[in-house]
Amino acid sequence: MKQITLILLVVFFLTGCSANRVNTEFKFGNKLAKRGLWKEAYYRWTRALKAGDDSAAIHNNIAISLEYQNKLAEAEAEYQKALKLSPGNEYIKRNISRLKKRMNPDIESDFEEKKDLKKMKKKDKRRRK
Amino acid sequence: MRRAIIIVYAVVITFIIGSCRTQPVNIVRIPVKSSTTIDFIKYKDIVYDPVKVEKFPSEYDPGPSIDYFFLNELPKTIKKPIRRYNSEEKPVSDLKEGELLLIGGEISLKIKERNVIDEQKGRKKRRIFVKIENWELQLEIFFRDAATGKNIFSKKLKETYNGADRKKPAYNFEFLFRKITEKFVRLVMGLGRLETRYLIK
Repeated sequence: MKQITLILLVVFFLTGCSANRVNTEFKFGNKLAKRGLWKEAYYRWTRALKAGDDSAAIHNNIAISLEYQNKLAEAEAEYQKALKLSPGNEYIKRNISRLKKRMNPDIESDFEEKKDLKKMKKKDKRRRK
Repeated sequence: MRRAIIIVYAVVITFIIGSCRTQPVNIVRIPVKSSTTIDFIKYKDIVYDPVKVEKFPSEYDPGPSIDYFFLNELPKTIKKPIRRYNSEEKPVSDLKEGELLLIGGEISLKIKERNVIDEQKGRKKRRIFVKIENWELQLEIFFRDAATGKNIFSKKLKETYNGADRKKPAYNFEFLFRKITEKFVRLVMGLGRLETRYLIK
């Protein structure tokens, strides 16, 4: 019995460690991006992705860094992956619409900027409540 | 009983922490490079025809500030001198393409007054109506090849400042004008505009 608990503890500890590492890579990437170090942030996020964190947030953020590097087609693919993982996410939808507008400046955006931002804020408030 | 209390406390604390959670995104700005860049080296002479100033409050004249930007700050950025347009210059018909670049345009201001309640703190809570102003500054600018008459660059830039103090028109104007000129310089230098994106935390 003791051995089993010991093994379980070790397993929990190891999984906890790896999850923590992924999380720190992701958060560190976010910090770097906020400071404008997009290439370094991209590296951190891809490391987190390789470590097994296949979340919508990571794909979305990677897409933004690709946009920064002017790799628009790759960025769109990453946004689509993010949207697949989190279909209702308004922020990702908004990013995609802006990228599309950037790729084809003539097309009208799917979102009306101000109205949409207000709606998003309202939704956020509701979620918090 | 104790357990139940602990569980209730835990639930309450989780709700409190959950409600204190900040917005799940960071707003970041990425530069989007513009395709239109002006080749200033090509032009021998760059001339500034003072922009027309419209609808400004009578107590404030933005002219000197605008002129200072175009005649002192912009030349440092583009690394070429800019001089003021002189009406007694040689006629445009004598010029060749790429000889003279003319900078001109128009700047206009819209002010909307609004009454807001200013609640004063103290023993007796007084509610006073205060007048504030919403300022909207628009700069319409063009760079024109004087010989051909073609606009090689033209843009309308707009900035707003809500809740401006009506007693400080100089500050309000400078605040908006700096914002606009920052945008303008980015466009002229081909650095592109900044677009916002949502970085998910």
